[in-house]
Formats: sequence, C-alpha cells, structure tokens
Amino acid sequence: MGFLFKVQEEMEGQMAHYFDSIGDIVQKYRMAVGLYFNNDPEGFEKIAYEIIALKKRMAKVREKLILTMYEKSLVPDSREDITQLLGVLDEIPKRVVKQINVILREAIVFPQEIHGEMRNLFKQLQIEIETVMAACHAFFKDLNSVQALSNDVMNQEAAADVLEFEALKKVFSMDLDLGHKLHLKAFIRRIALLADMGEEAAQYLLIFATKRRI
Amino acid sequence: MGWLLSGGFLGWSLGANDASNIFGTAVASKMVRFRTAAIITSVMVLLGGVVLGPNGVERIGKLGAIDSLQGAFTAALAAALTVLWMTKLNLPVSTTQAVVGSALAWSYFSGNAIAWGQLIPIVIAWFASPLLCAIGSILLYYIFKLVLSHTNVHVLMLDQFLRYGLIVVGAYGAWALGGNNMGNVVGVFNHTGIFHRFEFMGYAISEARQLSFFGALAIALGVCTYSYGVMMTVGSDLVKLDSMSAFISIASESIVLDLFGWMGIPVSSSQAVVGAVLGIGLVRGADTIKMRVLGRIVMGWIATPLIAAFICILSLYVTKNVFEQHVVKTYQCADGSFATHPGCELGQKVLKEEKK
Repeated sequence: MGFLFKVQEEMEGQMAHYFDSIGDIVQKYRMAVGLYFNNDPEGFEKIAYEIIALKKRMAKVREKLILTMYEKSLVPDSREDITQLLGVLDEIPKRVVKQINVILREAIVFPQEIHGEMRNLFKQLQIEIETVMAACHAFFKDLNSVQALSNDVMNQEAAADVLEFEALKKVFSMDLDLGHKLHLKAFIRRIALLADMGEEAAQYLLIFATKRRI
Repeated sequence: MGWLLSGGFLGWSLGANDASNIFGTAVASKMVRFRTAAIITSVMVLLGGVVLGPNGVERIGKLGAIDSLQGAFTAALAAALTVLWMTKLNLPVSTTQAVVGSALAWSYFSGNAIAWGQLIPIVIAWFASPLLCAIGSILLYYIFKLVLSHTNVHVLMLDQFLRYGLIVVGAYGAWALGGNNMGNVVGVFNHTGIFHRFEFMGYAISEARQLSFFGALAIALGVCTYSYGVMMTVGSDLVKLDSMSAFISIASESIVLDLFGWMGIPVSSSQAVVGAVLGIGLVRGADTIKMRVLGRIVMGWIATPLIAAFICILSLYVTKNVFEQHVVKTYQCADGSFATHPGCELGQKVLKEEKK
C-alpha cells in the first residue's frame, strides 16, 4: 500500500522537518546570543553560520513542497492556505538571519545589567515559536488541537510583550548614552517582532483550521 | 440501422450531460483529472450498460411500446434535441424525463393508452431519488466527520485517500449510470425489431443487450467529447464543494442509482446528484447553496418533459405528413378495419400488419 501514498509520505516528512527546523533555528539563535553575552564571539559566529545554512536548506524544502503541491494538484481545498502559511513561517528564519547580521555588523554591546531580561525574552520567544510549530503540526494531523495551541501562542506573545517592556524599561533606566539606548531598543524591538510573527502565524492557523472544518 | 442514429445522438447527449453527475464534483474540485474521469466513466458505463442495461431497456420499451422504427427514431431524436438544448444552457437535465416525455407524446400521437403501471414507479422515483441522495449525503457526512474526529490522519494522506476514493465511487457510479440509463437511450427501439437475437459461444445475445451495447458506446463518446462544461457547472456552480463533500455526494448518488438499478427503475442521475449536493449544502449551512443556480436546475426538470413532448409531437407530425413515414404501425383487424395494435386488442384479432 505504501507506493500508493509515496509522494504524500515524503511530503509529510519534509513538512514536519520544515516546522522542526524553524524551532531549531530559534533555539540556536537563543544559544548563539547566550554565547555572545558570555563574550564568545567565535562560538556565536559558528552557530550563526549553522543558522544561515539551515535557513538556506529550509528555503529549498519550502520551494519543493509548494511546487509538488501545484504540480501534482495536491490538497486543492487547502493548497493556497498551506502556501500562505509556509510564506508566513518563512519570515521567521529570514528575520533571525537579519538579526544575526545586525549583531555581527553593528557589534551591539549588551551591558551585563540587561542580560537577565534579554535571556528571559529569548526564552519566552523560543517557547512561543515551539508552540506555533506544535499548532502547525496539529493543523495537518489534529485539527481539534489547533484552537487551544493558537490560544497558547497568543498568551505567550502577550508574555513576550511584558518581557520586552521590562527590558526596555531597564535599558532606559541605565546610565548609558542615548545612542546606545536607542541601539538596544531597536534590537529588543526586533526580537519582539519575531514574537509578533509567531502570533500572526497562529492567527492564520486559526482561520485556516476554521475553513477546513466548515 | 440509420434509424438508430437518433438513439446514438441521445446516448451522446446523455454522456455529455450525465457524466457530470458522476465525476463533476471530483473534476470541479480538481481531485480527479478530466481525462481520467472520462476514461473510467466510458469503460464502466459500457460494462454496466451491457450487463444491467437490458432491464431498463425493456421497462422503457413497455412504457411507450413504440412499434415503428421511424416512430422510435423521431421520439429519440426529440428527446436528444431537448437534452442537447438544455446541455447547451449548461443545465444538468434529466434524460429520463426527456425520454418519458417523448414516449408519452408518441402514445398520445398514436392514440395508444398510457402504460400507467410503468409510468408511476418512474415518476415516484423522480422525487424519491434526490430525497434519498440528500439523506444519504447527510448520513455519510456525519459518519465521516465522526471517523475523522477520532483519527489523526495527515491532510496529505486524507487528500490522497479521497482521490482514490473518488475514483472508486466514480467508477461504481458510472457502472450504475450505464445500467440505469440504457433504457433511456435505446429503450424506445426495443419493440422495433431492429436487432435480432443470436447466439455467441453458446450464450444468447438478446435484442435489448445489443441495443445496450450500442447505447453504451454512444454514451462513452458523449463523455469523452462534450461533458467538461457540465461537470464544472454541477461541481462548482450549485454549491462549492471540498474534496470530502465531493466524495460523499458521489458515494451517496452511486448507492441510490445502483439501488434503483436493482429495482429495474431508471432514475435520473441529474436529480440524484442535485439531491446529494443539496444534502451536503444543508449540513454545511443552507447559505452556501447558490439558490439561483438551484432554481435554474429545478426549472430544467419541469421544462424537460414538456419540451420533449412538444418537440416529439411536432416531429412525429412532420415525419408522418412531410416525409410520409409510418411513425405508428397500423394493423388490419379481424373485422377488416385498420387500427393500431392496442386498437385491435379491444376484442378483435390482429390479422396482419398493414403494408401500404
């Protein structure tokens, strides 16, 4: 019977790998920033290049998934939704790579006093993105769980907003020059934007899941 | 044999129109390619037509009891023209209704009594088949919903399962279509003596079976050459169907067609599919049904037998008076008078067929 579903099995595996890879990228990003905080620029760069390579592989997987769906006329009812979802998710690794480039290019200095807030923010981001990926898996295999998982994502994004606020408050309470404060603010905003993208993906998933149910 | 061409034309019209009732939803939802659908439908219609078709041929033959080849030609042509016209308007018409309209018109024209015993079950089936299909769709919809809520099948796997499922139920539906509709296509020729029984490898091939084979070939030709437009109308204009709904509606329709096929009552696959799609529309919320399109289809049902009957009477008149053809056989009765066959049966013995 396997030959009857060969293409679908391959695609299912690729799709699961794609979602897992997004979670991996955010986890690696958190690790890399941790090394950067610990004054280990070589360790940071090593993980940064791993992230860039993983992002390139993911782009190819995404392209192949979309092409196969259209070439073989698969899932006609949800094809556009899946393509749109993959497009939204693809923004996450793209933005992570951009932020890594910002750190490398601009050599941002993170004072010791805000490391705690920054680590909390990254931890929250990772938890949120992992929940988004669980919701993505659920969209394909367990439609009933999508709503609960999407709600979790929204709660986690709200928690990330609180952590962003605390980090920014800390930055502006510190004795730094205004340029440095604004530099840090811009970076913290970028991390919060990643959390916003997770929420956006969860909202799309909710809509697509509702469409599939009707 | 040339007189059989109108039956071939009717078969072609039926193929062009009614293949949409089997694979329309699947093709419109892009789950099955038109070429695949056309090939499967052609093969299965041929098989169903040859194996089950003769029952329907005999029933329709009894309804009109058309005993003249020219009369049968004219009745079939009138039905075919009606179906073609409605098909041109992208309306999924009922060939059964067109043929019944024509057969009744011939009875009226010839002065023969209407075979109520044959007509009543057919008319009841006109109402029962869409109703049963709607009920079947609703039941299947809830069964599938229940099954899917307890299984975690990946969307891609479900999609492929439905793709294969649509082909299987489509093939089953095409078999039932062939078995059920052969009477509509060539039934009016059954008492004309155009074919003669013969034996092939010890197996008797009846006139009805030979007619069915011819009708099935004509249907297959119609499917392959002209059915795409109507498929898209049925599949996407009435109510937008997803793959699951397409599968359910075809399964429900096929079961009902087969059920009536076993009972020997030719039903309209057009009415059956509209009922099945309507059932899906009802469980998904009535606002998803495009009422304007549904209204056009219902109008087609009412108009079809009336238009077919009108065209048939007009054609019989022209064939008889302009082309001087015998659209009704007359017989010399025992008292020397001339009458149609039932006329002589009113207490008189038929002496011979009139030769003039």
